[in-house]
Amino acid sequence: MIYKNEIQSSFKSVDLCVREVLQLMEKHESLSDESLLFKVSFVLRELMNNSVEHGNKFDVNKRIICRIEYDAPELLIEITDEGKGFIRDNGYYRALDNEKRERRRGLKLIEELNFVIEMEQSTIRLNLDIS
Amino acid sequence: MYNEIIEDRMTIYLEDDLIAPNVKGFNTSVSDYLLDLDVLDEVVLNLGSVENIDSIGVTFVIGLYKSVTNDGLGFAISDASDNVRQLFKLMKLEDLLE
Repeated sequence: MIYKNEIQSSFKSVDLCVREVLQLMEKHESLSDESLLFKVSFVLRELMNNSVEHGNKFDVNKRIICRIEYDAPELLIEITDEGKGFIRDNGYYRALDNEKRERRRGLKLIEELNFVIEMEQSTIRLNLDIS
Repeated sequence: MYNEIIEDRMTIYLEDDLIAPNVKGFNTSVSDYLLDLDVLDEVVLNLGSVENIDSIGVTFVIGLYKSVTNDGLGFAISDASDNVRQLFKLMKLEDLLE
């Protein structure tokens, strides 16, 4: 399964994008587990809402790119925005556009949901082994 | 969203997902519901219809919890799905679950 979409920076667009992804996953036997769908929904919303709010600062002219790829057993989620991105600092990722604690807490929560996080400039990549 | 008051307990029912695009409307409705707290002892947030949630939705729940408990009332969440319950536990918010 491959999904790619470019959306504008609004919470409504994020919701529509997530619903499209969930619909695609529901059709795929290996991806239709209810708790996986819930997890992906939460994580996608977390990342893209952050892009809307912190990366693109609610500028509807700035875009968010969402790419999902499933290559069994790996589910890859990749979100790119037009923010300043992240740097690696003492083993931790630090957002250059926002130092708020809740953003770091969001990333920690994503890790607790068993996603492996990787960042490169303003792209965040998550991997989940669903085997 | 609607509410039901039975004796001294108000139950607030969410009919939409607990996600960013809906939170503004939730806040407006809740402000109206909580105008007169004198007759209440407890507020319960019923999440029976919630399938999707995000951290902005969770922030709404925490705000409601703080507002209600600051006024000396009890607060609880009811009918949350297993997935929502797991998420609240991960976020160390399990004390809010009924």
